[in-house]
Amino acid sequence: MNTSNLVLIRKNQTDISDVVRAAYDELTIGKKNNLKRRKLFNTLFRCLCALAVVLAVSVLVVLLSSVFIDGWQWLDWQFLTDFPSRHVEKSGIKSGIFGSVMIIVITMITAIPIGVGSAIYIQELMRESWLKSFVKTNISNLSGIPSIIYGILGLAVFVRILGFDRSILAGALALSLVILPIIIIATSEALAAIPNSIRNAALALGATKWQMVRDHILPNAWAEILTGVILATSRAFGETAPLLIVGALSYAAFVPEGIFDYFTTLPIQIFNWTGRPQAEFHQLAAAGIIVLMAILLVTNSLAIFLRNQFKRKII
Amino acid sequence: MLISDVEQLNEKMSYGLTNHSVLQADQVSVHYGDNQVLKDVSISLRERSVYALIGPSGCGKSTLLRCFNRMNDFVETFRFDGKISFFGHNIYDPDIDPEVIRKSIGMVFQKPNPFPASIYKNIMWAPKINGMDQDWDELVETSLKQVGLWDEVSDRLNRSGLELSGGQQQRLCIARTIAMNPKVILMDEPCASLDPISTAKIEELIEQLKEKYTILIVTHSMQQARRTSDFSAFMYQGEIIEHGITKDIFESPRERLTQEYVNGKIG
Ligand SMILES: Nc1ncnc2c1ncn2[C@@H]1O[C@H](COP(=O)(O)OP(=O)(O)OP(=O)(O)O)[C@@H](O)[C@H]1O
Ligand SMILES: [Mg+2]
Repeated sequence: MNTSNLVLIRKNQTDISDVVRAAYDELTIGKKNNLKRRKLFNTLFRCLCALAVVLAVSVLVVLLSSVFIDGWQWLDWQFLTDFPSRHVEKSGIKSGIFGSVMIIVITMITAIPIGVGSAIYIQELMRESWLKSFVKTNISNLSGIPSIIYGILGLAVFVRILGFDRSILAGALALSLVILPIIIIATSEALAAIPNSIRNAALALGATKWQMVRDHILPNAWAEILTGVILATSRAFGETAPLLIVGALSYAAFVPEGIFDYFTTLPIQIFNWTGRPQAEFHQLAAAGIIVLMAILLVTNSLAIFLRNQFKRKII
Repeated sequence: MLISDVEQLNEKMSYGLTNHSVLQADQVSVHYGDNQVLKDVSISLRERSVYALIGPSGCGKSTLLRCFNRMNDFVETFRFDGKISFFGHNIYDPDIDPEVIRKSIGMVFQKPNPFPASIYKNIMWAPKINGMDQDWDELVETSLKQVGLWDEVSDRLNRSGLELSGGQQQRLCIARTIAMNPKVILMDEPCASLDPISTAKIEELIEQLKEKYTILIVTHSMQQARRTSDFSAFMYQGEIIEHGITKDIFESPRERLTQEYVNGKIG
């Protein structure tokens, strides 16, 4: 019995070494056959990706540096606090900054509740049906429509029919239309990322859908929703075409005092200056671009900071 | 009446369709779209007992369970025929709020699903939104004590429920259900994702909980059904083939199908 056991062990040992050898052979044959090629492709792919990054970054660097070289000499307190003027050295962007800030605030006030609300309705409350997929598809389509179309719609509805004239309100509402699809899509995605087990848990405890959304879905989705809102805000901040259609002024030497006032915005002011023949105005435009970017940078950082605060609270 | 008489009566009540049961399904048929999933299912659950629902995968155990607290309402294609009475009230009556039903008939899911929130909030959220008004600290403590979790987590009630182990999470989910003071607790394979020690703890817990609650548990483990339940029902292709005292179902089943299933010949 002892010997037979021994034989068995021996046999097993040879078996094992056979297996190991086979595996080794396979590996080395693999090496000979195509491992080299696969590695080559891998390296090639990495190089291509790196090239794409280098290209994108260098274009950005060239653009930014040319803007800075052109504009930095005009950047001073006076530039921020003066109205635009025919004289380059007396020109500033006060009216543009005020107009932009007011427009953005009103746009956000209208677009965020409507956008987030619609997304909640579509994603959490609407029954699964052809209507739901119809609505969702069309919202995706809406986000692809050129913003100038929304300008035309705004001109017809807000400026003419509702009689808001060429006011900040009309401009902000037109901008809301532009960014509504973005906010709805981002919010829908944020909600869809919440696992169903959380919904089941809340509902099985006797919660209504509203209680479930308020206490468990939204708190867990806020960070993601905020990301979408940040993107939408940046988009609205830089948007020019719909505002021009709605009738923003390209020259305004006053600060709007209410939502029914005429207005101009920073991007429109920049657009205006780049259209002038004198090189100095082009430099002013560059200075305006620097300010625009600085504002975007600050608001985005703030929003990202807020988002991280939200995230920390959840987990 | 003699004690044995009472016991006999109780036994009769458990599978006879009497009005004294807590929860009673009467000729329940369920369709998902055109697909009939439950066929004329009748079962009656009496107070303070554990019922095991066994049967092969896809036979409709979860569906039946979710009929009892109307969680199937959220499935678009769900169609319900028949009647389910909870203390004599038809829970599918149009006048009845499903939310109210779900308050009294709690549910524990296969995968532990605590809210991504503090242990404390996990327990007190549902009672709070349902308008119960009481000392939350006390409620949290008693609920956690009932599931034997208090000693393990009393020093970190403000930490997230997701930081607990799987077994602890499942007990937290049970505690969360108990905090609502339900009459019935439905459990859909509550140990399916747990290790043997956590499973043993949950089974022990079920043994204790039955002093206060009626429990209906779906399980794929014959041993678990035998260990934990007083009564068992065997389901096959949408029908209850046989139900009765657990010991009978496993040791002397009347139906051939049941016998084959509990002996592991079909499944
Ligand atoms: N939401 C749904 N929509 C459509 N059909 C469903 C749905 N849920 C379950 N079904 C179908 O109903 C039948 C019964 O499913 P159910 O989940 O009740 O089975 P089960 O007995 O719980 O199985 P398991 O032991 O695998 O959990 C299956 O054929 C399943 O495909
Ligand atoms: Mg199931």
